[in-house]
Amino acid sequence: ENETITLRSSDGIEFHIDARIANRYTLLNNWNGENASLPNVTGKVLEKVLEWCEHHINDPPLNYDNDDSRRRNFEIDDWDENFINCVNQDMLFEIILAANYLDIKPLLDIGCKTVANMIKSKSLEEIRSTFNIVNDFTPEEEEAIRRENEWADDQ
Amino acid sequence: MKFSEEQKRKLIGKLAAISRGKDFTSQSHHDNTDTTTTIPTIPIRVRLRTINSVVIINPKSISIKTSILHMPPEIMLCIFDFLPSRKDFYSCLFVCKPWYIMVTPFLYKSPQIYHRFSSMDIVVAFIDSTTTHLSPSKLKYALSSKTRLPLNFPIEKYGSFIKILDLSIGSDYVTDSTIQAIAYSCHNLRLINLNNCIHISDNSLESLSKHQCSSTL
Repeated sequence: ENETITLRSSDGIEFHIDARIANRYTLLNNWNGENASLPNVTGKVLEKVLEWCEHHINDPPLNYDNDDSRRRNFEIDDWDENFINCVNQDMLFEIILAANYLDIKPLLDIGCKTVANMIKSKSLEEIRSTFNIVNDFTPEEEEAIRRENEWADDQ
Repeated sequence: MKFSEEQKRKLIGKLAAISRGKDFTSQSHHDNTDTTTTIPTIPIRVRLRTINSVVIINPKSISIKTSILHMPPEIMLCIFDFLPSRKDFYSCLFVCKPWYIMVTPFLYKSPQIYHRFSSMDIVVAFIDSTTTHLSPSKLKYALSSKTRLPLNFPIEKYGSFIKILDLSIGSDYVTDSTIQAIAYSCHNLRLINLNNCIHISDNSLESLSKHQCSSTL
């Protein structure tokens, strides 16, 4: 009764997963098959994504189409928070890319919200150092942006 | 926040222009950029020690780290959509050029343009936008004499990003010309709160119904 399907990562690692997982996410379902492999997802990342899918196998069916605000206000539950906090930044962004690629929307939202929380309430310099971003503005350009958006400056 | 297909296309085009270095006149400041930010598109040949053969490995799967700079615009928009406050959007404007372009629509989606004036001790000067003899600190709180919008508020440039506008906080300053300027520039306005705006007349409602925003309101 427990039907399984086989997914192969870009680096050739095979995963045998419960068919019910694949049924929830159309794209995963399409990749089932002898020679089908996911060209953009490595085994390390696919393992994490499938771990998440497995935990959420009994979630209510997804209905995402027309409820934007509920989507934005959702809370990350304890299991998901623990799941996402256990990975480093590199893996976090890999998971986001994979969730986007495989069209696993709830996981994509968890990832994006986690990144938003890393930006939230931080100063400009803290944001840059958190993500290792180099300032590419000249002082003149910065001043122009400051002037243009003066009304939004709280200082 | 929903983006129309056209907006998305424009945005992506703009980002591409930036990555080619065309949008800003500045010289390149990428000298000290971390080398991990560029992914070579050609597969790298790697000789594995354990197996005595040459294999082709996707460059992404080896030493190159995935960072926020590798996220495509549609994912960045999804991330910014989860940010809660104007303060966060304002900080994000200055992070780097691609962020500036992506965050601006969020900052202007529902701008609280009169938020400064909620505290009573602030003196507001109505001055002409050409007046320059005021000190910068005073200028910050100034309203344009014509529209009574905050001085230099880029309503013509970014008005089309505005979807929700609550004018009840600054209702004392709102006049028919304020509404006229808003109606003229905010093509995508969906909701406007005119509570307590006692200085406006039927002319305001007329201009709101006359312009493009009437189809979205």
